[in-house]
Amino acid sequence: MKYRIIVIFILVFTVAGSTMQAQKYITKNANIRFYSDAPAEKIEAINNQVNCALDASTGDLVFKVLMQSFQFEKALMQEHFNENYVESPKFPNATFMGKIEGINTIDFSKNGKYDVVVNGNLTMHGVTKPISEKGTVEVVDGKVIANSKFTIAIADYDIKVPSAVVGKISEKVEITVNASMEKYVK
Amino acid sequence: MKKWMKIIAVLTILGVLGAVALYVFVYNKPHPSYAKLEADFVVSSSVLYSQFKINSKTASEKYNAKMLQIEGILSKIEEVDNTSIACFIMEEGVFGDQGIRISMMPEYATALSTEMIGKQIKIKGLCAGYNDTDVILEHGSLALIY
Repeated sequence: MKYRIIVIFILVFTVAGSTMQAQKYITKNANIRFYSDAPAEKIEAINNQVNCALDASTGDLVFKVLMQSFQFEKALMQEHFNENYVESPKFPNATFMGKIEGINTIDFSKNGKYDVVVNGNLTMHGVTKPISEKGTVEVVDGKVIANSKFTIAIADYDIKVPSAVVGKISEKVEITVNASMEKYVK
Repeated sequence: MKKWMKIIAVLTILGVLGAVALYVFVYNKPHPSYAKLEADFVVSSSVLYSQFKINSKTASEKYNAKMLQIEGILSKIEEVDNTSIACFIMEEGVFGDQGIRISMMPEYATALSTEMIGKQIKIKGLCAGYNDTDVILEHGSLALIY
């Protein structure tokens, strides 16, 4: 799986890039927030060192997330998240590889905001699942800002809630993605 | 109430209070004072980056979640959402500049100035891992400038 991801990264950035270099948008500071609300506690964490790349000619969209970079308000939650839930030492990365539907309808040459649907595969905790989510793509002065908010079930990714806290911790997590990408010029 | 029953009742109450206090203390324990943590590894920026690039699995097992003190030439400082990111650029890759990126803690972000760019510095941070382009560190603090 890891090599497939690397190959797709390279494809997005080299093959497409060689002919349509001006069509690549990247950031290393995309922001991903997750939030879960349950009777026992609200859990919120933010990661602002997320790699994101968009090939505007094909609609290919890639995110790469280091799980250890999620920051929690409470140290204990951060420990449990890394050690007991997502098992960061064993599964250090999460990735999304997908495509924006109808990328050709987006005019990257002028400011505008578009509702989009993104289809792809989300890999987390060693499990890959297809997802299809709504979002927006906004072109602002040459930058591309991608936003999306969606919910995932942690059980889908084989993340187990310890029996002692079943019912007290939400089994669904809201993910908010914000990526402000700049045109990549080599 | 008999005397032994009173003793058991008092001990039970003390036990419950102690358990609650312990739970609250553990639940609310603060994050460690990262800047004061001793480095698990002291390594140059170029060596660290090349170790991850050559064998990310081995390097991840060695460095992830460890406090590192890195020595190298500061390439640039990025400001993102009120966070300063110190960058040691090692090479140009498929994702632009690649190297080591360290999110500075707010109290150390102000100490990081553009005058330090191009100078040899030492920064401590908690290693979050390698994302196929960069080695990422969190909770960065400035250790020393030459």
